[in-house]
Amino acid sequence: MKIKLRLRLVQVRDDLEVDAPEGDSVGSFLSRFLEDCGEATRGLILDPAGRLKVLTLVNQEKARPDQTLVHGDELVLVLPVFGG
Amino acid sequence: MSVQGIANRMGLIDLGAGRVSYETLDQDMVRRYLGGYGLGAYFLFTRQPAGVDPLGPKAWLGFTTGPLTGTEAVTGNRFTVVAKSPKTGGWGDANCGGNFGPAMKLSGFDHLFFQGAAPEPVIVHLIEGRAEIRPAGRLWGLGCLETEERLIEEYGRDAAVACIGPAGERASLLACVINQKGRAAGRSGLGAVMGAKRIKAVVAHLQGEVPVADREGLRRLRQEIVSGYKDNPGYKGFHKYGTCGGTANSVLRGDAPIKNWAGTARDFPGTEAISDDRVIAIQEKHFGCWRCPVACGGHVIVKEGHRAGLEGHKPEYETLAAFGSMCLNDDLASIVQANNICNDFGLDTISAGATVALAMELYERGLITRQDVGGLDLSWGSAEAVVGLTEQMARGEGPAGRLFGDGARAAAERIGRGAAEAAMHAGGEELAMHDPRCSPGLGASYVIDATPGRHTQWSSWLVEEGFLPSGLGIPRIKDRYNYRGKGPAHFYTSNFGHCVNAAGVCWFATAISRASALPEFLSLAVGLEFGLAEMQEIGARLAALRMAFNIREGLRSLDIRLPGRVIGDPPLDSGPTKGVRVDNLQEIRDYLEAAGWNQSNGCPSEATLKSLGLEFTLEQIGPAARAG
Repeated sequence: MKIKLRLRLVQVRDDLEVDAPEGDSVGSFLSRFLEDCGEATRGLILDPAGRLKVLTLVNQEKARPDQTLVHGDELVLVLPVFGG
Repeated sequence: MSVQGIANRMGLIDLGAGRVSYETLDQDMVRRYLGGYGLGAYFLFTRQPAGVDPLGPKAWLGFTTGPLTGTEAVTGNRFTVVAKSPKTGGWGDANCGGNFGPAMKLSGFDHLFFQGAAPEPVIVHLIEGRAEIRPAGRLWGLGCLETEERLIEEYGRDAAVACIGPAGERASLLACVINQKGRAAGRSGLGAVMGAKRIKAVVAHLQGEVPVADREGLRRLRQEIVSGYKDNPGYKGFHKYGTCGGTANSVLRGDAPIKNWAGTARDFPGTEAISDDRVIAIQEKHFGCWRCPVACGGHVIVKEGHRAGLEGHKPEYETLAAFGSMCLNDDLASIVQANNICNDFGLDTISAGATVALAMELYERGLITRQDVGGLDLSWGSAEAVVGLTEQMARGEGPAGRLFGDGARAAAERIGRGAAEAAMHAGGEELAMHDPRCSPGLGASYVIDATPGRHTQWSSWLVEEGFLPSGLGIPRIKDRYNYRGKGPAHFYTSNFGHCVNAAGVCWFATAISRASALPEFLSLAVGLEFGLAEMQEIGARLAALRMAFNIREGLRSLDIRLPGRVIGDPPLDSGPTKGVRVDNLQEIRDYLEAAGWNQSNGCPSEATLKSLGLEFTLEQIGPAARAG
């Protein structure tokens, strides 16, 4: 199945279409993506302790790691950015 | 005893009598209040009686700098305008970058305080420690842009100008003070106070240098901090984009209010059209405040459409959200135009945009009609309506200008019939563009700071967002929706923030640096020893004194109720903050406990006031302080 992945990380801003196995969860999808993406992108998504520092949204709702993805879902990784 | 890092001079200007006098500052005042709104709060509390009309001649208006303004400290370029706010009836302050603060200091003044009202419009010219009152009838009625150009032509290329536009002249509650054609001391309605005193502008000169205790030490520390920026993602983001870099992300994550705080990102799919790369695409050059290494601002030129050729300051995040997501308007060019109108007429963009959003909601609900707003079609998302209504509000003319030209609360009162439900303000101040449902700490600081509704007052929300200088020592908040126990985080963070503001530096640059740099810069500038512990003590003092001012005016923060939708009452049924109800009252109670303020009335307790050396306030607020 295809998942639309939108990266909104300020330094990295990209719209991708990523293949994923049927029944894939948000957590496993992200784990694979983090293995494949470059170090710079990984550094924007994870803090030094390996925790996610981005908000993960599926179809504009907050996502849970165990949430099952379905074909056509839009997964957005949003880095909190401060504006004043 | 005099200290370094300050000009050691306050100008007191009686506009009615046309008289100027001068006072010196002593070491103790700097040690206790630093400067900015700290010194300003001390001055107004001790010299202005309770209950004065903020737009009347007995009210004082202050222009204040910090000990770091005009020095080598990174972003030492801020000044703060202070007065009793005509919007809230309580303490008012508004912080501004640009180049006026350094010029004021370099011209020999730490602080200026104005009283009375000039019989005719005036400018006040600062040069070499003298303040001169000069007629300004020729400038009255001009926009801020032309005013600044004319004054620079008249006073020379080193002149820096802080002025009001026509909105301030007519004492609109939306009015602000403008410097460098687009840096604004925006909040609290203080442009109205300046206009009521008939001060069109203050002019100062960027020449010479501020005496400091250890200039070489300041330069070394500046070099160390600036060198560290090159690998700092915060710096990279701010330098590349400025605050516009966060607009779309803020909409997506529920931080930016949408559709007058009633919508979600689904209502505003066009958010990327007013964010980051799309804004940078029209940026012609960076703009930086005086000696700022970050230079987060910019100049833009609209390239396409019927507004092609329009030039101006790059809209900040707050402006993009206020005229954008709040109004469902994804037309960037129209926001540039609305921003230009505000900069020229001297309007606070947050308040102006929030008021346009209110008008759109009232129009949708049928509480106002086209006839009420001069024929404007105020449908959600209408770029023409955003520009048209902003212009009418700026001019204060026509039916729309008269209805909406003093902001959301005044408009709702004029319209009646339930309009107040849609006016999104705290105590009269339109709320900033950050949503407590996303950062719940805001639900407390929008209420419990002496200037309600402000995002620039630090609190636990910056801990929730992780936007703090390193080494501040405030534990991470693991669950932002667990409302218990956040009082200490709120207290310690806000204390430090008060010192940032009172020192005269920018909080963005401070937040991407190490916390200890602030007291180190202060020590090197003024020759007194400051550390993080002193920042806590001074910050607690400033918070208590600003609140004491409000208590004396009969204002209690605990009486301020945020509009229900802002804190999830009722909760949203979709989006990343779906189902969130913010228990801001719990955090407020915890903050009061951490700060040593009374639970019954939100007043700093007698013991706290004494421990902070603010005994002098007890004569006027003693009963409230002893209420428990």
